[in-house]
Amino acid sequence: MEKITAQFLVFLFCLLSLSAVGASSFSVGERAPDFALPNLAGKNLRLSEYRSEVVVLNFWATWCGKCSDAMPVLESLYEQHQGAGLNVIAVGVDAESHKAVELINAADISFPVLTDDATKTVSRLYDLGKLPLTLVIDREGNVRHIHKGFSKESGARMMAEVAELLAE
Amino acid sequence: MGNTQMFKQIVCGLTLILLGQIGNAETVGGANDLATLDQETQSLKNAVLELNKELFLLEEELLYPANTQVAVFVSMDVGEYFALDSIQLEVDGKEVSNYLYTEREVGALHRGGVQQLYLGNLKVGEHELVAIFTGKGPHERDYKRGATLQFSKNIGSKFVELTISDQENQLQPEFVVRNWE
Repeated sequence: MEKITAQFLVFLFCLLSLSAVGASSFSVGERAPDFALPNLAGKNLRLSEYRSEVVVLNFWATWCGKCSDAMPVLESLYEQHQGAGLNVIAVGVDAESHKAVELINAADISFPVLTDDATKTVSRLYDLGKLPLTLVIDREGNVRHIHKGFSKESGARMMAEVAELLAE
Repeated sequence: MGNTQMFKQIVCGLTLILLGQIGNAETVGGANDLATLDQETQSLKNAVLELNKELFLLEEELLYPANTQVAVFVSMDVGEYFALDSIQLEVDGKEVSNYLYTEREVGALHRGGVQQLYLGNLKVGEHELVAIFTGKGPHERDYKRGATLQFSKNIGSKFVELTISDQENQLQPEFVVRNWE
């Protein structure tokens, strides 16, 4: 029993040290922070309502070239696996959402696109450093893979990761 | 890192430690007596569950002591003249919650659900609560209304309810903030 107490105290100490240095808001294996945002039509969506489905959460902006490159890959992923329980959610971080509307209409995107243009609460929650930021979230709501930036290779990797999570 | 998150991690950590002990026990006792091992495992699992329960109660008591606790709930009665989009809650001029409602959540409120919008602490004395409701009113028009409650916080928990209902005679929504006695 003493051993358990000692182990617990060590664990508690590590935990408090981590919180003291201000650990990142999320990382691989942790629950994706929940949020609700309006889509381009003004309808609110909440991330936790997609629990039990695999979610690809993508943060993007119209001024980011790599973000535009990622969109067709995400659309193809969505079309291919939507029936198997995949949801793709894009969060636009532009200051003006009308630019996002124009781009989404031009690119013929069918998955939900949300806007974080007003308070940037969600952008802060996910500590956006580099765009696009794409998270692959499993059916339990845990972040399983994080992609910062976008390339053909990372797109292919994302496809494999999604297929693997859908099969779990 | 939030306190709630920390408590959950402590519980997970304890669970892992105790399961580690189970693992050790399995290596030692596995060859000798499986039945005893099974009993020990079961009792350890029960201990973890009991500990988990106690930690959650402790968390509740520590973060929201009964003497200072204030909880705000939301309910909806019919709501035909108002499609709820968000509620912004201010206590003593400070925003404490800004909640966006999804279709599913509004549906749950329509079916009689009651949502806990806010749980916090307030000291004894006079306070002001302001709730700002945003959504679509009659004829799909953008609608924003506020409701205020001046209340006195005594020793003991305080519960406040925000109710959205219909004023049939005026074909308008009504927003009421009231104390739960």
